[in-house]
Amino acid sequence: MTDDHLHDEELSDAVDGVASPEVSSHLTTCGGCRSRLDAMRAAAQAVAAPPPAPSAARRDAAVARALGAVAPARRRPVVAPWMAAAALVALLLGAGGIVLAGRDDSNGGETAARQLDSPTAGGSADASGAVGGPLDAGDLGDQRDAVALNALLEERLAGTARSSSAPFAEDNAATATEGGGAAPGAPVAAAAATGCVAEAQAAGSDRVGALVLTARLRWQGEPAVVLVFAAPDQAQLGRRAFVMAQRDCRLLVVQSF
Amino acid sequence: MTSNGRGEAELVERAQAGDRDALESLLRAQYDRLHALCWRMTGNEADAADATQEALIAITRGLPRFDARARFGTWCYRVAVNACLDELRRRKRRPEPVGAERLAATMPPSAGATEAVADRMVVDEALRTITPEFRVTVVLRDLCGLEYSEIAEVLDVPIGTVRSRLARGRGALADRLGNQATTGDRPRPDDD
Repeated sequence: MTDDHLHDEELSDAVDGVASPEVSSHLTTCGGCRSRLDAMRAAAQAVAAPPPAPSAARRDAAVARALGAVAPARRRPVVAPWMAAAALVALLLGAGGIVLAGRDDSNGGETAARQLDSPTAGGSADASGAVGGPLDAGDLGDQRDAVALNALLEERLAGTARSSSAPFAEDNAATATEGGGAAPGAPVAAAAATGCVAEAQAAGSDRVGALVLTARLRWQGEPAVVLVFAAPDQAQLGRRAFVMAQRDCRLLVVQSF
Repeated sequence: MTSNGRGEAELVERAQAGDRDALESLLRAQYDRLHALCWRMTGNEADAADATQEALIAITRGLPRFDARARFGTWCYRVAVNACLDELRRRKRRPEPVGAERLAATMPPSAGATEAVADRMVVDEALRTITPEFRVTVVLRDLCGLEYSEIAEVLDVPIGTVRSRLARGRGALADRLGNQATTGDRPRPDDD
C-alpha cells in the first residue's frame, strides 16, 4: 500500500479473491482503489473470454501431422542372403537368355532391374518421370490412415531415390511419365493432383518447397489426390503431404514425414 | 488425483509405451486449450495455428522424456509457451499483417458476430502492447486458469515473480483497455 492507495499487486490478489483483511478493509472506504480493482477485474475477464475454437478439420490435420512426426520406423522387408543371391542369379540368367536368344534388347536388363527396384508392383513411376518433375505415383488405392499413407509415400519416394540419382526438379508443373514403367492411370493422377497445387501451396503457407510427388487415391472413401512437397530448407520439418479432394481441391489432411 | 487425472496418466503411460491411439487422444484433448493460449499469445489465428502445431509436434517428440513429476497438462502448457515465444521471434523477422489483413484473419462467419470480434481484437491488441513475460502470465492465469504455483512451474520462475508479473500485466491491460477512467489520483504502475 502507498500512503493513500493500494498497489496493483494487492489489487491483483483481490481479483483472485486472496486479499488480506487490511486490503479488504481499505477497499470498503477508498473509491479510487475500488475503481482500479474493477478495471483490473474487467481486464482479467476480457482475457478469460476464449477466442474461437479451431475447426475440427484444423484440429484433425494438426493431430495427424504431429502423429506423423513420430511415425514408427518403417519395417523393411527382410531379404535373406540366399534370396538376394537367387534374385541375382535369376536376373543374370534372364539377361543372358535374352542375349543367347540373339535379341537386341539392351534395355532388357535395365527394365528388369527397375522392376526389382520398384518397392511395390506397378505403383512407382520410372526414373525418367522423377527426373522431369515430381514423381507420379499413380493410384494409391483406398487409404484411411495417415500413418499408413505416410509410410506408403515414403516407400514410393525411397524407390525413386534408388532408381535415380538426379535431384527432384524444382519445376512444379505436371510431370510426364512417358517411356514406360508408369503406373496405370498415372497421367490422370498427375493431371488431377497438379490442378490442386496452388491450393496446397496456399495451405502450406511458406513451409513447402518443390513438389516431389503426386498421386491419386480414395481418402476415407472420397476421391482425392495427394501432393508431396519437399521442405523449403533443411531447418524445416521435412516433406509435407497434402491430401485434397479431387472434386474441389479441398484440404482433407496435411502432415509431415 | 481425480478420475480425469488418472485417465490422463494412464493415457500418458500407454502413449509412452508406443500406443498411438493413446497419443492421439492426448493430443486431441490438449489441442483446443493450447490453441486458445497460442491465440492470446500471438494475437491472431494464423500464428496461433502454427504455434499450436509446433507445440503438438514437440509434445509428441518429447513425450518419451516426460517424467510425470508435473501434470501432463501443465507440461503441455510449458511446451506451448515455448512454441509461442519461438513464433513471436519468427514474426519479428517477417512483416506484420496490418489493417485489412489482420481484420480478415479474424473476420466472423456472420455479421452478428461482429461485436464479439471487435471485443476480441481489442483484447488481442491490448495484449500485444505488453511484454511477452507479462502477457503469458496473465493468459496462463486468466484464460487457462492455472494456480500461481503451476504458472511458476510452467515459466520456471518463483511464485513471487508470478504474482508481480500478473499484477503488472493486469494493471497495464486495465490501462490499455480504458477501464481506469475513474481511478482518480491513484498512482499508476509502470508496466515495463
